[in-house]
Amino acid sequence: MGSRWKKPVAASLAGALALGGLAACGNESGSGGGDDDVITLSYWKSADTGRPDFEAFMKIVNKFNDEHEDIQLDVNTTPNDDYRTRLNTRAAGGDLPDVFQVWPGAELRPLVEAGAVEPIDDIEDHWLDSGLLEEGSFDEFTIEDNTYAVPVNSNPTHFIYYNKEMLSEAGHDSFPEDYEGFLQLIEDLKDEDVTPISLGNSGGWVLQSVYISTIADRFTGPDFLEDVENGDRKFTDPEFIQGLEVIEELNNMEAFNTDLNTIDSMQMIDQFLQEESAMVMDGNWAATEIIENKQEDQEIGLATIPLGERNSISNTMGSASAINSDISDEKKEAAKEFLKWLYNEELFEELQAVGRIVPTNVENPNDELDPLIKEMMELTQEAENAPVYDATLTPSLNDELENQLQALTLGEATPEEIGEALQKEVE
Amino acid sequence: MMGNKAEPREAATVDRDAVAKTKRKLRRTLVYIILILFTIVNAYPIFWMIMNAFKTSQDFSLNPFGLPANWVFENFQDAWVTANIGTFFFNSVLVGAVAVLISIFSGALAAYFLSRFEFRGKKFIYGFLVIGLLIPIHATLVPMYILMQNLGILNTYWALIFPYVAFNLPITVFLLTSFMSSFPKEMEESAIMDGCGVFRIFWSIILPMTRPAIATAVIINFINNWNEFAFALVLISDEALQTLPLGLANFAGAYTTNYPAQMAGLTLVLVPTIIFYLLMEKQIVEGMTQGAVKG
Amino acid sequence: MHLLRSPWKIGLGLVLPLIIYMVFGIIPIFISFYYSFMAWDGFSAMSFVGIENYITAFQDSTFWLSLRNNILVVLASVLGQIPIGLGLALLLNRKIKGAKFFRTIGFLPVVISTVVISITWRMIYNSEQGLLNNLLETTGLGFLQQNWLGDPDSAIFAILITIVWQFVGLYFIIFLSALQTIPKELLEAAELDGAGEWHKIVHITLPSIRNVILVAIVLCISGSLKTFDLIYVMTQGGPAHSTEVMATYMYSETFEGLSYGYGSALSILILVFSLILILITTKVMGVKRT
Repeated sequence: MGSRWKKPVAASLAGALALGGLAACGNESGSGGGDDDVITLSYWKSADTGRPDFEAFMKIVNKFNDEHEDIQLDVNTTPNDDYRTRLNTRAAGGDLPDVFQVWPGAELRPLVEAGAVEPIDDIEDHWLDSGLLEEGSFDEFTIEDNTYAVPVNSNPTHFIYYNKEMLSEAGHDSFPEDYEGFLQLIEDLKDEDVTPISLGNSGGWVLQSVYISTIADRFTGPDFLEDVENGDRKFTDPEFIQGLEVIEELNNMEAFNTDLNTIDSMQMIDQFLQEESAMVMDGNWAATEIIENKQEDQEIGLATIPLGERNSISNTMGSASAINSDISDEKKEAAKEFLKWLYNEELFEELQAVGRIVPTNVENPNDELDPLIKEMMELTQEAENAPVYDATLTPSLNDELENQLQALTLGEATPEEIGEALQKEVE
Repeated sequence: MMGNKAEPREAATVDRDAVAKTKRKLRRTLVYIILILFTIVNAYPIFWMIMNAFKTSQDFSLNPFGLPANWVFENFQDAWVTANIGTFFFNSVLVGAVAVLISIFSGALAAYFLSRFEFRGKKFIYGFLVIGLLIPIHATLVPMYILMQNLGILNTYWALIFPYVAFNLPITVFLLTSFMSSFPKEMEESAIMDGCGVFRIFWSIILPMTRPAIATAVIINFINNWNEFAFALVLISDEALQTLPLGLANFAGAYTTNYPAQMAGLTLVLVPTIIFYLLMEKQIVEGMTQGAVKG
Repeated sequence: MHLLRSPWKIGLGLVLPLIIYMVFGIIPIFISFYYSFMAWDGFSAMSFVGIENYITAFQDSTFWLSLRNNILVVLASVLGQIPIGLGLALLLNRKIKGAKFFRTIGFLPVVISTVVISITWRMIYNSEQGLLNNLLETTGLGFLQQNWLGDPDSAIFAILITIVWQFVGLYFIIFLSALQTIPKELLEAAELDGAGEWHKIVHITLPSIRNVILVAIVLCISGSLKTFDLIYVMTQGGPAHSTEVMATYMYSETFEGLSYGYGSALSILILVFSLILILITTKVMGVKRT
């Protein structure tokens, strides 16, 4: 698991180390803190050290201590892939950090149901009034009328990055407008002996997060997953099956590289940059990597899959933090203070500057943005939002879906069988 | 007449010698061919790793199997600084060494009693210890966390040392018991006659004789501790106390697009393990080189 | 065997390892055993469900698949690692030129990080530019080319080869140390009787280290049933569960699926299956009790 949209941000190692050193003897999330007027807050973040968006995020986090004398932050970061193992173990021990990164929807729900996170409705207005976030930005973090976390960036998970030169060599000077044209493009690229789309699905999440979340939505509409949960609709409904059939069709016409199940998402970007393939589908996070590593003369275009009547992109909010409910009132106040301070204009600006999509138009010297990022912002604004499956489904259902999608590419399961298997898991 | 008879016999001996000689030569060549093939298969990943540690990431993705286009040393510097190898290295050595010492010393003593003495409940204790071989450690992560929490030793070196000892004891006891029980029992009889105490016998007779096995157990223990990730992830959250595998994971996250830098980090970490292995291996085969004068 | 007149000394010798082992090895697995009767997502309160988790496991086709794969790992390891390790130890337990070098090389894979092993072997097995398929191509064996890790039929076998490769060195070193304990006089006497190399191995060397060979087999079985790291890094059990083993399945159910109760039941089953397998093996091989 560990899908990419859950990636962002971590502490700079040096900063975290210095802080970690100070707290070495203290009990991190213990009840103490009132000893000498200084409140110590532990803050846990999943780490992706080295990525520009993380550097930006942590630059601000680490400024907190300089500006506050009465609250000290003890920052702790864990490599993204292992963050959940660590956090879940601590949760099982009833020992969550004071403030910590959370993910929306299905992952937040068990924490809320166990009463482990503190509602933050009383400070929601701070962001609504300043216009940094909209009512809708909190949707994914609102469960049963209470809001539990503040996000900063939105995380569109579906784009097609294409190599303009390779497309025009195959006789396509612009990206196809409809699905028929898209299939034709794939055939033409095959005739040119290049892999049309590189796909690295060894982790299982790419087909789920990048592909099916958007593709199925074009047929089912955005309320589908909610309806399934309520029992009003089913995974065996023809609309969802149609979505799966698109993936089956692409796979059957050999639109992908043959090693799709053994390479990972990084390697698929590599293949694309080395011009072994003409297109790659990935989320917004890939943009920074592509901009950074592309060759000088490569011209990269951006599109979404031309499919169905509606234009939608699966999207979710990210880099959200929540507060532990099991801490003293004094600490809760401090934690809210910290959230208000952290999720501020400066953070939105910094993240946008490095190519993350933020919900509001913060002032930015737009000229400094890479054209690809600008294009990405436009595409996101034009499109309707669709839910991302792994932000909505329960972990075990999502796991089943990812495995079934792998089976689909191996010809071991048909779309109908997958629909049935998923529906069975729901029931 | 005598000479007539003697001559062909002599020739035959020479012949047989020659045949035996070529036979031995052939066999030796065959042995070396096998060993060289084996070397290629075994050393290739290492060679590949070290070679790629000197590449830029572009060079690597264009040409993962060839020699570096330019030899770059920056990766090593990056690895040392970003992965903070210095601190993590110290922690790993400290935790690893203390755990190995406790596990080997107490394991050897237990193996001594279990193999050289008869007492009630012996079989039960032996079986009880050996069942530990079967415990999948990932199953114990959550209980272990809660246990450490209750003992109040989370976020200390002990939080790692104790589980490392506990999970290496079974293999240590199992291995050492089988070695110790193979010695003839006359071994320590005269010492008993002389009135030596049991601990004295352990220290000055049994322990030296088990040296190769102890060295093997030390290697296995140490490698297990050196590479252990899951406990280190869950039981230590303070970065100043973390061990190398975690540092490397941090680093891997930092350089998801940069395999060469990762290779450089892994190369740096590999060096001490190989040195350690060489030191221990000397203990294992020392007896061999001392005794085998004839070759 | 000796009878000790002062049993408190035995107690003194055993008390430290037993305490550490009890507290940090046995108690946690007992807690797991307790969890295995619960439904628990790790956050909310647990609820008792009896043996439901075990029933679910027995009806779970992925669990059976992972058990099958585990048994394949056991077979490949016992039949691969042990004979090769033993052969190498015999070959290198003598004074030949470069023995030290070859001994180090023999142990090398054990000390290399699993990450490196998995990256290299993934590249070797890659269907498009992989070393193996290229090699087959150039030697005219192109018809043998496979999508090694991508095809569910071959993926587990590709993994098996890597696993055997990774751990041969461990058994090599165990056997090498066992060979040092054989009294030199025995071998010298046989030599004087004119025994050939082969004869010495079969009649003296192997019987002398019989115990250690059995120990190695037991270690090999228990190790194989706990296999986790390599598969987790190399394929994460995929594609479509085809390389799933019990430990990887247990881990993903527990920490990714958030089913602590079910994950605990799976780990208890791993323990039980290992115990059964080892009891059968030791019965069949007739281990002499020490």
